Amino acid sequence: MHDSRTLSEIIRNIGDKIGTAQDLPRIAHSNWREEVIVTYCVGQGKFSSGDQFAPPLAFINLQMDMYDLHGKWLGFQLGVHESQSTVPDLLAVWPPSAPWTAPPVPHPEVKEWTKGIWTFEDGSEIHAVGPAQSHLVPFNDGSFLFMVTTGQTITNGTGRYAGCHGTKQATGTAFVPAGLIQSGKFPAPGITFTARTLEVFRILKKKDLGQETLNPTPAKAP
Amino acid sequence: MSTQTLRGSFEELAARIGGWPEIPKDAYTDPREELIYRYSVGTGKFVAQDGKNYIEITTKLYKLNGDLDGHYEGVDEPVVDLRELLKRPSPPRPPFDEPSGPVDHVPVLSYSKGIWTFADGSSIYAIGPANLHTVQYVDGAHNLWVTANQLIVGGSGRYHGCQGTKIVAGSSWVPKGVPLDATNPFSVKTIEGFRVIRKEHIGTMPSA
Repeated sequence: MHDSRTLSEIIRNIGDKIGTAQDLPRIAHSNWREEVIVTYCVGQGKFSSGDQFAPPLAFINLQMDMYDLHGKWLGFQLGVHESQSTVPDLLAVWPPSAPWTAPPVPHPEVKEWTKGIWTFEDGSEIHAVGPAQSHLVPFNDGSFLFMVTTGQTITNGTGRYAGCHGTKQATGTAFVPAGLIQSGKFPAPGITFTARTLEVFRILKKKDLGQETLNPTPAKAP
Repeated sequence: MSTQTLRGSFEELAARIGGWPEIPKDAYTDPREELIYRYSVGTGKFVAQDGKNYIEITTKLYKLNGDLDGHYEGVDEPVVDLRELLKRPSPPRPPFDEPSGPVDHVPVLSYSKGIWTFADGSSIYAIGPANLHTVQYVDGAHNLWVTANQLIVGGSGRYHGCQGTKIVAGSSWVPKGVPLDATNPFSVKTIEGFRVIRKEHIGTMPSA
């Protein structure tokens, strides 16, 4: 008998008979009202050009697909990263700050910021902004890994996320072939690259929020 | 059928046999980077030292399948009045589909550092800004979030001499009636994402 199923479908059928993969344990949530989404994203980054590329000032646009950790497509993101970091800034490794369990805490200067919109399969959006930090790591074959990390605050949302509050975080990388950093060709205006990120959302929906958050008291005039 | 789809199906099958999957290969830029997701559960408490307030954090670290995998200790230093945490930044302005501004320069509300020690005793150290945001629940309780972007500045054991980046998604539920800065220990839940390059893969810095 001819079986028209693809190999991928057959593998999924085997998986269905074995059982369902685990979700993030509930204990990792603050409480039962909090929604936590753990993802990775794959897409393209593009550096700015023209008057938007004036080193150390540069912008990067990210356009990426978003997946859960089982590879299921969740949606996409559009974002912009502004960097005022020099290449020496990116190569620097900050000095350690032991003891790690007690003050003081270093205050590294922030020279990078991000904004973005994450759109889910049903069209609902999350908008967020936050500071960022990039880092260049030299591999021993002369290539580099361009790394970015950002801690964002959710500013608003649409659809099922209208009026939500929360935070999100991302850390992503892109490969820089050997020779580009050494010859001053990275970053360069208009160049594109493949970007891959890990992203986490912690969200509280509007219906779970109290008046102190929904209708904050305006500051009194002095 | 694409190779990527077939690989995704095998990864999903592996997940169902063995529990939570490791992070899919599509999330890796290069095989020399190591990607780690962990969650942690523990407590935080406010402490005062030299006229400043700090949050000291002590948690146990778990793989996403629930297996214990070490512990995390850290310190957060808020640099604004805690009442400021009820506010949040303005929504971002377009464009979002091209590499250009404006991008608002969101201020940093706190700074963080920490040590993440894994089950084999190897550890990772990291430092970075950590913004904070607080909301009130409909029942009068509060939630305090920490959103940190950190640089890995070193490590020990298998992570000796490593570099990389990491994120912290911290969340604390504060019962109704308990002040946000109460000195009693409060619940801390975090999700930690690491991108690590071990020392054996790191080359020399380019000359000036």
